[in-house]
Amino acid sequence: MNERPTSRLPRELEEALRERSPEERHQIVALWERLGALKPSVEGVPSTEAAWAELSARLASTPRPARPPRRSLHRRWPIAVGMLLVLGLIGVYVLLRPRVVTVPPGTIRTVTLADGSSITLRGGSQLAYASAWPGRPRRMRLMGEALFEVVPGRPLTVETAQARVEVLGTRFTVRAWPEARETRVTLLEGRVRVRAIRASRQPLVLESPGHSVRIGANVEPLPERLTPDQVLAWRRGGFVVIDEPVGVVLRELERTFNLRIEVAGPLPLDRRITVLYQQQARPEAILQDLCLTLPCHYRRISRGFVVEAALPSGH
Amino acid sequence: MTDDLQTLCRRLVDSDRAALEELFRRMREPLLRYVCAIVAEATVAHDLVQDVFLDLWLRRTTLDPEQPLRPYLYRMARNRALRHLRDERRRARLRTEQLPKAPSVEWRSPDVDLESRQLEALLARWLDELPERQREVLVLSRWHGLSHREIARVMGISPRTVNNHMLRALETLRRRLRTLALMP
Repeated sequence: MNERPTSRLPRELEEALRERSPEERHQIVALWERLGALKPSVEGVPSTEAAWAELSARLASTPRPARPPRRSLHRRWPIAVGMLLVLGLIGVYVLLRPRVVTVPPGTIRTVTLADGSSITLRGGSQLAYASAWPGRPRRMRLMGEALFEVVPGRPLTVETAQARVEVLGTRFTVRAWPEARETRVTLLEGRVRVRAIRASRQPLVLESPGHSVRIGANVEPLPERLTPDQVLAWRRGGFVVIDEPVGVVLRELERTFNLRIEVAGPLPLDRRITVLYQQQARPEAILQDLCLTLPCHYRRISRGFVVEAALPSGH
Repeated sequence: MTDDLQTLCRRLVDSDRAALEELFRRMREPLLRYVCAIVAEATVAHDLVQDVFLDLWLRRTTLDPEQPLRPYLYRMARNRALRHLRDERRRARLRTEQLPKAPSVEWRSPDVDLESRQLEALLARWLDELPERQREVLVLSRWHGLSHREIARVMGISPRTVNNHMLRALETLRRRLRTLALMP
């Protein structure tokens, strides 16, 4: 009904084909004709008559009136401007609103930012961030432990209770559990700058892979060296705690395996220990090790364990 | 014909229901074919085209009779069809992995004499295999008789690009036909 009555090529096509060989032109024209014969029909739909009846019924039941003619627009523009303003503010809020990611115990979650940077969070962690204005540095707040893989470009600042880490395109981990009252930053790639929040000390710069630093209330920051296998063991089902209090280890067991651990009796919760399971860690094996060093007993309860001090009379 | 559509457009702006009906009787079928070529599902295409006309009626007072109505209609239809595809793809992605692709055309040696119906089927397949925009340009021009300028309006590209897409599409089809020695 609307198609070209003849199979003539459109004028622009003909012009473009002018410098082709006669043979090619002929082939294109033949192709053009063939394509015309190909026109598919649409089957299995109501006829135009039925479709119009359907549409008329819908029109009759559509409550929305036609838009008013443009004449009256000049009286409405303040409303329109007001609405745009409100929408704009909502948009700005939606874009810039603070976001909080809370990872349930026993799981690992990855957050990907608009620029492709990603943050892998360990169970029990919380990450809060707002997408800042373009061009401004981005700031995040971490409680817990995470691997940051930051794409070069906009600077990123990660804050914990004890430290502020400033980065520009790099990989590093931050460990900042509330009960540990310290923040450990380990560099895996690139370069980061770490400042203590509550001290006007010079910032520390970590620039070789494996460089690690702990920032706490009473600890003088000491450079250490850790392997990626150690700091990232949690990503592969491992369990590694380096020189931290027993209380932290127990909390970490709870978070990592989604368990409940109750402490009965006087356990030396402040004693520092190291646990190294680089992969396939089982909570029970870790507790066994722990009880050999402390010493202590443990027993199973529903969804967890009770750990109690070993009676001195037993030995 | 184009003038007629513009007259209809003017009557639409004045809320003339009869104008909508006339336009519907004239344009529903080609739009249906067009949308169906995009969404590949007749019932979906039917629903989408109904929505186009409903929407046209609801926004009739904002129409500009100076603007050509035909490309405007095609464009409305196209937007809806593409939006539908996008939603559909998103849903499909959520549901499962991508479904296995339709089996590709089996190769025939050039000396097999193809019946003309087989040839048509083959050509239709190849048309489907063209890049989306090239195919669309060809379909709008050949089956809908839209001018380059109208196609440009529908697809939001320049008439020059329309011509380039079309040349490329025809060239691909021509070469494939020639490989099978189906061309004189």
